[in-house]
Amino acid sequence: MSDDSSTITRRDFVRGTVGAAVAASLLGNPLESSAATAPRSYVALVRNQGALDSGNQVNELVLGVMLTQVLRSVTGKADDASAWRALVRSDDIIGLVHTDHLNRTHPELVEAVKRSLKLAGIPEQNIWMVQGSPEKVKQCNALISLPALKAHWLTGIGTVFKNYISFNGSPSSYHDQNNAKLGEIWNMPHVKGKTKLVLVDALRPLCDKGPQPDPRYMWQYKGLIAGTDPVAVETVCLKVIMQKRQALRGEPWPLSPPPMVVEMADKRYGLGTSKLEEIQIVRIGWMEDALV
Amino acid sequence: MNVTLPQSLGSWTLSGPAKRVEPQAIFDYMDGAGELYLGYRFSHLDVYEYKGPGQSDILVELYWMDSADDAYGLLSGDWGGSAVDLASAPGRGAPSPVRALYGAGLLRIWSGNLYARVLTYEETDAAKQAVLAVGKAIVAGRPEAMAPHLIQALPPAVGSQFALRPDRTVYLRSHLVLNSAYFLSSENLLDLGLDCELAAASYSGNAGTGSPRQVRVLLVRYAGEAAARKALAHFQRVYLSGKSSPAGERGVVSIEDGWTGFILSGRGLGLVFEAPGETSARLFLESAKQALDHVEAFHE
Repeated sequence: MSDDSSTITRRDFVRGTVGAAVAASLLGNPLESSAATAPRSYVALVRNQGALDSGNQVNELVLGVMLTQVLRSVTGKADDASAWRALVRSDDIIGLVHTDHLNRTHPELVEAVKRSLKLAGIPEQNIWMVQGSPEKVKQCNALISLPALKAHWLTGIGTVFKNYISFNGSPSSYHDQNNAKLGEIWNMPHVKGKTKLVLVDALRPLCDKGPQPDPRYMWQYKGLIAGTDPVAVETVCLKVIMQKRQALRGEPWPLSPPPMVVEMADKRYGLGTSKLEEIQIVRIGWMEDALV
Repeated sequence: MNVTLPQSLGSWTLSGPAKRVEPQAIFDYMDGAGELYLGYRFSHLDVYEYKGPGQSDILVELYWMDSADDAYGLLSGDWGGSAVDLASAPGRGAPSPVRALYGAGLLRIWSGNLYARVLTYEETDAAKQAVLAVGKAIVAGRPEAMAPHLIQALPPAVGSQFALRPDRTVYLRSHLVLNSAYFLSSENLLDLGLDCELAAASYSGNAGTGSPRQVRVLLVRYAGEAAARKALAHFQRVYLSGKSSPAGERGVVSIEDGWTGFILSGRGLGLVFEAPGETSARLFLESAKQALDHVEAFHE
């Protein structure tokens, strides 16, 4: 048994002694910004109604346009090549980290990123697929994280931080309450500082019962959510999930267990901000039912 | 009793024999989702696939559990979807309890010690019919089980103002599953494990306040009285920390989100959360005790 004093209970959430984003998730309250402050982080939300057809097939042309919009929004550059150069060096070994299992990243998105990198002058042999391989990650200079947006029954949300679970070499060590510590992987020597872009596949997210696919809780959001601050990106993703849950049930539908990983990534591991008021969301494209 | 699946369903054909997933390999198959199944008494998983030209695959997962209670627990994690009666026959009497739920291409089944998921990734009329046909094949000839005693013992109403929400009633053994149903703590505060069983229930009412309120009830049955007593002490020490709560086997206390109560009865522990007042908390405790005693009497 662990030290009782370090145990977090439901009462801590009600008392407000944990962060607002996580507390709102558990209590089913709307996740809102408090008083606005100067933004610390930028998150791009790009959506396009034509991204998926009625059979959930990806329109690759539209997705390519969305990727361009993401890159330019995140970097402020005028073209894709300049955007990539602002994120990575042309001689970097770049590891693409997609979700390869259970509500996986759409392969079309992975291919679009590869194509775009190559067009930006990155040699094909320098673009590696590194999911599941800490050894490959050690050899990379840069990582592009490409998780898919989903709720997770064990961690609350299973998107940005969960995507690196294999990089410590022992994924199951995070399956219990230790899942709150997933952020520590991002500070491991072979991972720290390498993530240049977090690009979340929010084309068809899952808002409950993940990671196993459950079509009752999947919907066509047709979006990409991206930024360089992984905590900010995860926080915006959390808001999308929470708002969708409330919309589905017509009443607050708490996310349980609460996504402590978001809080810890901010407060303990210093990976970014989980305060919505510190995040500027740049919205591009179709915004009906955007939820944020 | 095993299951025999049809070789073909319309334009879909069974792609091959089952892929067997043993408990030690479940993370390879489904990553962290495996903890859900290991949180119950899980024996093994058989996975089948149907493939059809130009059609989305149909995935069939048969989770074989050590008991019918464990299979029920997996279904009880989510009562969403439409109830379907896969075993219906002409002239049959009253409808059976919910044993299968369908929604948006996913069919979930509790059949004795078997929990099954049948999933089409693209719901069409034909795919839905195929999924339901697989479901009927799964339950064919299999004996039906009753819901766990702990679930049956939950009172349908407490007082005149609070009614059980059957769609929020979960049977479980693991604190990870409990936290998915109702988060109590980052640690295993109630000392749960595979030798325990727990019914988590919600009761809705307005208690005269005019606004809807949910009161949460947990009934836990431990392997023995000592384990129950130890778990209560753990709960009191951590969850009621900072409150001058009554010691002993029964008590109520006001905390941040309402009144919380606990009651020990033999190997059973009843807990109440978010009750609107002391009187209602005591009322819930008394009904929890009756339920626990009823279960114990049955087992004796």
